[in-house]
Amino acid sequence: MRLLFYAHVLLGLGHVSRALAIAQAAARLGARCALLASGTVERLQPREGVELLKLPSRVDRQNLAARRAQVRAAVEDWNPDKVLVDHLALGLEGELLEALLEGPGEFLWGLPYAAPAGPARNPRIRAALARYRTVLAYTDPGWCDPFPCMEAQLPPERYHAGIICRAPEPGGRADSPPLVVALAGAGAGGAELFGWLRSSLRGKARLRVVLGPLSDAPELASDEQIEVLREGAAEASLQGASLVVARAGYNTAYTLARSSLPVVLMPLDTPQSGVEQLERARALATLPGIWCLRGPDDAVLDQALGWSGERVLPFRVDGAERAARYLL
Amino acid sequence: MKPDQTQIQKSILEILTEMTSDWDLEEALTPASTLSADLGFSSVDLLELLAALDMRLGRKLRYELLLVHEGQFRSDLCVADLARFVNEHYEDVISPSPVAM
Repeated sequence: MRLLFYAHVLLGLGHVSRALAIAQAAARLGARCALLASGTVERLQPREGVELLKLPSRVDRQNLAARRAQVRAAVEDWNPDKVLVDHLALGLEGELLEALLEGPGEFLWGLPYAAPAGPARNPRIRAALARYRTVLAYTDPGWCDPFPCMEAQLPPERYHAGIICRAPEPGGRADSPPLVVALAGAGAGGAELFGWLRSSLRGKARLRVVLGPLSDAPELASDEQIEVLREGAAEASLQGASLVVARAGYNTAYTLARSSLPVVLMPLDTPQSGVEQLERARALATLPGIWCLRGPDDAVLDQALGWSGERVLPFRVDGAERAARYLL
Repeated sequence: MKPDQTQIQKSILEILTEMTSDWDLEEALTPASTLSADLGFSSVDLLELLAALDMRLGRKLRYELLLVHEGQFRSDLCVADLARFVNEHYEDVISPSPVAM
């Protein structure tokens, strides 16, 4: 079985990372797998068992036609039995349109969260979307389920794979003095979050921040009171943490939920980001030791620093393996 | 030479006429036609329209200033809105001469 995984790159590598997790699980089950993506995707390691088909970096809107031709050519060259597309059925800018209309393989749509859209009138788009016979939700029924609000636009075959997330790396918890780890996803909008924590925690706790590749707070790198990591996956930056404060992107939020640490989520809430982080953070905040904040709140920080307990997750976290088995 | 708003609007309508030639639209395109409600535009259609308009005008405009209003995405806009925006922001180009890749 030849499987091709497509994921777009927007602010970070979250979509690609999720596709890679499923691809690796499928490769372990014997499939021949390739990941088609653009941007700085080669930074994602390890990729054992998964071939990387790298597209040129994201193009301007004037070059959409050329991008569509590149994607179609890549799909034709790989000649997959199945293609699993993450998040947006047509790609971020419609770059999958030609591949869907004329490319080989059975297309499946993977949904980490809802991406509602109105009915398309453009007959080419309708024909492209009709290539999808199956949609996989990377959630469980009743937990941030994207299907109910997308009923009219979904293909007939529907399957809940469960949450796709890596387990946090085990590490001791430092309580004296406590260590707060702050994550801002790819880094955009992190300056406000990091600035609040720097002033709020001074003299009370140590602070480690992961700036991210798109950080808007590079001046923190010269602050000797703060441990600064340029980049790092959530699961690898928690060593010794007493508390984590983070945005609420899919991969990060669920990885943190799997940890035994208290977690304060401050979802990115912009027109571009939509409400998916906010909805996820609010859902996760119903679990013990997780809080959702819309803005700085020192009292919640203090409360979270003092939390200890256990979390039993009300959703499955083996989504990558389940999605891979479904594909095969 | 900078086109006036009427010329810009005419260009937009010409592009839309070509784009939607096989869409079975029930009503004729007018400056009041809204992209989403009347034409059934998807985000991909909007990108194609803006790309075609960039090519027609020979410049790349910052349409995000039009699409995000007071911190929220506009739910819809009409042909005349787009023509007005282009007329007002014609000189605010990101790139003066877009070329196909």
